Amino acid sequence: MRKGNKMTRTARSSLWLLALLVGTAMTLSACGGGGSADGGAKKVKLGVLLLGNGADDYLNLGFRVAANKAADEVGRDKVDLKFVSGVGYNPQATALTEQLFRQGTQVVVDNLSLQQLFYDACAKYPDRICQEEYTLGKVPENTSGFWWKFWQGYYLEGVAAGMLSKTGVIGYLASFKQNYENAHMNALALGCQSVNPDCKVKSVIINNWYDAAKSTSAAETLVNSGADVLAQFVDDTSSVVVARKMSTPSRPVWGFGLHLTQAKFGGDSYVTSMLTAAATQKEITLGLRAALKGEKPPKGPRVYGIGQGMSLGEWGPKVPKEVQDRVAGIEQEIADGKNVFVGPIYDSKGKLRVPEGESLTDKYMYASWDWRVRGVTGG
Amino acid sequence: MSWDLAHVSLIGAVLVAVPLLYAALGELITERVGVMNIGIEGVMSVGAAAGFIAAVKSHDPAVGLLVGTAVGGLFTLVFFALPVLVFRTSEILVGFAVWFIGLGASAQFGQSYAQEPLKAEIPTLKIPLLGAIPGIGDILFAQPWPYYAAVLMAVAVWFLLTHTAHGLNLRGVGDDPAASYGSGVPVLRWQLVYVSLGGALMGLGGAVVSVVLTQHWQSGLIAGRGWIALALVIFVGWRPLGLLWATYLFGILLTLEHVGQAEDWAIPAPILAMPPYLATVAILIVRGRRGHRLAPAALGTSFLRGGR
Repeated sequence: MRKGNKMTRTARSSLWLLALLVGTAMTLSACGGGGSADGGAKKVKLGVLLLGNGADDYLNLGFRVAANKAADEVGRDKVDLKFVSGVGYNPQATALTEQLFRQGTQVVVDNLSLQQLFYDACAKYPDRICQEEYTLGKVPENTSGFWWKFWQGYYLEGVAAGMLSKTGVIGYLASFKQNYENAHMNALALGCQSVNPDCKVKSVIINNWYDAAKSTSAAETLVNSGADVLAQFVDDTSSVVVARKMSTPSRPVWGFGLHLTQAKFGGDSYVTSMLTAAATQKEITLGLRAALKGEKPPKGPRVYGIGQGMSLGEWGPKVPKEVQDRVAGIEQEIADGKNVFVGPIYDSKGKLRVPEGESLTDKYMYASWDWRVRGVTGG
Repeated sequence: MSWDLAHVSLIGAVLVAVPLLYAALGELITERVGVMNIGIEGVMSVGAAAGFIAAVKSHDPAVGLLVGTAVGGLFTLVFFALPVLVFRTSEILVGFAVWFIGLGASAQFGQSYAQEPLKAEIPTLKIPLLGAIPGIGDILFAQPWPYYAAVLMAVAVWFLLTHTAHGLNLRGVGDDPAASYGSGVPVLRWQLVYVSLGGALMGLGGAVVSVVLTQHWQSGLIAGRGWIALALVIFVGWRPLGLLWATYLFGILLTLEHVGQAEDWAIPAPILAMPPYLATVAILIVRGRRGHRLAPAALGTSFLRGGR
């Protein structure tokens, strides 16, 4: 009996302490959310779902910048902005989205492409506005998608890389094995081959958005394997940090950033970053304006390219003027509507995939590019 | 794969192994006094964030490593050692809580440093003569000092546990705390000290990731390395010197995943990612019952909770 009482007391003590510890963890995690909370009767409530911690990687930072600027654009006093971090690819994301709707949120932005998990919640609240990065398949009536024409940006990076590289080998850090990653590395190779026909792209898949230690190791391996320019589609700074670390006067290594400028990480090895926040701002502004008018935004998906809110950022201090000018010229041509993805384009096995006179469409490159062009190897 | 690529990859693998070595040594010390801290991932995360913040603020990576160590130890004392050893809570449940608290706390305090670069880095230290040995000199004797410190730490822990009376008593605490208590060993005090020291080494392992490897902070930076460290302790049968080869083997296997992709081996990337984990399962199976016999006999039991 006494033993039983003792166990009960111990168990109670354990539970109390555990609750305290877990509560502390949840509180600390939730603190990262941020955003204003001064609710006004006429305000539009905007909720932005952010992948993972949501505060410290470059895609999420870009969304924070974009949402705040969008709120400023339509009038800060008209928007009640809330960031929700810690969102993952699981059914809790659906419950979380529904919770936002129940709290009166009119516009919910999903930055992790939750797809069906997001659509399930949106379909239950047809009077609200759902905006999702990278939609696929059938979406509810109130849901519109958006994306960036990364292939245009990587083509430009490829041109710069081709001019900067001495080895003719470009390293690429891919997040996951997806068709959109094929589009990125293919565009990188095609841009590079427009300068140096023998240019090669070596790719390593990280299988994560956030594993800076792994992507750092992968970037080092790529440099050891012959690459002297690093590009990436992961949410960290490994490409520019490793370029700086491994660069020597006799063998310079260059690195590209993504989403926001990463100049201060790359030093003299920094080339530039592909900036996406202005396009995100456009999209969120569209949703906010529609909500303020009690309407729906035009049906998507909208894919923002060069000249439409996506651009290359500032140049690194050591990038030659000749490179900057040439890339700026092509950037302007793309902004004016030129399609640089024209045949002949061969795949990695030498088969002609796009004959001369034909070109690849944005729709194809958005999700369907399931082969790799000549010169692209790796994971 | 060319010899040059293999050579430079082996150099890189050594550095990849260093945080694992520190963290696994921390867990080994913890388990040797009979306590299992499964919250390594959380402690490493806190050490990584604290170390990075200190390195940015002081412009000195060495300060970052020291702070990461101290914060790892303090965090472990407050959130793990005291609840488990003094408040008599379940070490498994509290270990899980430490994991989440560490992730949350590091994310909260580290987030404003995500866009801060480190202004200085720890240089490579080439040992005279040894560093010039063809083939292995660059791999084993031309690394940043945290690598040498980790190796010395493993040797020191081995010496302490196997060649000193204090070490014998320490192992006694992990094997038979009742007998140790009876012979006058202050079991609780030693457990508090060594569990916290173990946490300090885990914090140092985390700081090595952010300050030496990535030179960048973001949440989730540890990305499962704490769990690998936990497995490695069992993998080597609680032997400190075994961690030297085991962590290096894991460093090689982790690096191989990237080398295979970069060199376009005809093996799919997901398959290339499997060897470290397959190796863990394989060795645990091979060890079988013998592995259990190598564990501290009183690991995970709660003698003092009722008997003090």
